[in-house]
Amino acid sequence: MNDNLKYILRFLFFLALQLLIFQNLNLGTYLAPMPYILFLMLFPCTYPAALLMLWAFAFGLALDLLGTGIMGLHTSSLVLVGALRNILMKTVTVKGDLDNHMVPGFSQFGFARYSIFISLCVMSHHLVFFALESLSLFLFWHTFARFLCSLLLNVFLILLFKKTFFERGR
Amino acid sequence: MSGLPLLLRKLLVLLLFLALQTVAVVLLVNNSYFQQNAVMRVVRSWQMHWWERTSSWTAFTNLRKINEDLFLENTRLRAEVARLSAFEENLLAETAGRMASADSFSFIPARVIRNSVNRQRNFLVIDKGSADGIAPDMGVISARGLVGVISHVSEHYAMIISLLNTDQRFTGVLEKTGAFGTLRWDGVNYKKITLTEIPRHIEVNPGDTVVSSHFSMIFPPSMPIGRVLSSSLRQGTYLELEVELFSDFKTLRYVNVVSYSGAEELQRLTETEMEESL
Repeated sequence: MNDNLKYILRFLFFLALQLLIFQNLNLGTYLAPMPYILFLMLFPCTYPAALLMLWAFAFGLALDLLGTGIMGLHTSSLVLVGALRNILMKTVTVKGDLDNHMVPGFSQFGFARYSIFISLCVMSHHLVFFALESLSLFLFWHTFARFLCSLLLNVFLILLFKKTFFERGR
Repeated sequence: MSGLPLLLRKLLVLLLFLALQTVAVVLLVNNSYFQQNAVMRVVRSWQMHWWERTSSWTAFTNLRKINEDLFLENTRLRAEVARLSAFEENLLAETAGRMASADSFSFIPARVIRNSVNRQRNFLVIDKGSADGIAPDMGVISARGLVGVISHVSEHYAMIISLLNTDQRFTGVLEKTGAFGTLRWDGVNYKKITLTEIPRHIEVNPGDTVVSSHFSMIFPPSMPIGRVLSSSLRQGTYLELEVELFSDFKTLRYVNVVSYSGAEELQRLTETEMEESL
């Protein structure tokens, strides 16, 4: 299958998933399910950061336009993830591990490294997301709790999704 | 893109990142009230700094009112000073075993409602008249010095012969030496006046202060008038001084009319003396 077509299909899949299911899932104040971050994690390791950011921007914008959230919030945090993904990937892997068209995953990185990688990405996303959403130090601990709880939830969700749907046979 | 140096490529990626983030944040700010508020708070604080600077300009509009208040206060203080100095003089006179004189200066505040500086005979009109106790031949001073003498009085208005009047003569004294001469306006420059008939042996330097006479019945003594600019010898007999006025007659707004309680008595006395001598 053509790579770009694959990306577009994934784009639509994650968008629909977020808009139709996770956005409407009311898990309380502290849990904001946002597994769509996985969308960016499925690009090959050597995928250019600039293109990744454009994908992130498009996805975030679509989510902001179609969703019920605050305009620009998803866009901003997702663009950051797009910018940081490749850097974080280089940080968690040993040099020479990254092949040309390899997609980051459990079998490629190992469970621990991949989990750390995902955690760091989600963390950067959530930092921007919750910081921009509150945009004040008022209720700092409340915001921090939301950040932490959502982080745990989303890392779990992403790892689950990855394992279930996007892990090729070894 | 792969042909570019690595550093440039990284820079481009960074620029792209910043551009996308800017778009996102602009969207955020434009579309949500709370975020808009938070950003506007920062913008407002910058604005406040700016406004603080510009407020000195806008405060200019209030200066008139402030001026008026200060002027009235000055008048009050001036009257107080005159009263106290008269009191002090009386005390000194009493200790010297002489009769105390009952005279003193009082001041009536007034606002200039008509003014000119560009004619040969300049007059001012003020908004106080006989109803306020103003009479002809009273002196008029401003915060910066002599202004003129009352010529005509109606019930609520009075006309002042300005210092800037070629027909009018005043007495001016050099503060340092006490030498006095005649103040005369040459009708040219509203910022300058001429002090003439100063004896030629008097030493005059540019910058010396010219004040009002101690013998005057219309002005309090030592009211400032101006500063000497230059001196020249006239006809080999007397000095003529060019004096820069302290008062700016063009912007004159508030004046004090000087009323001297001993004026009438002193006038009568000098008149009888003159009659006797005739």
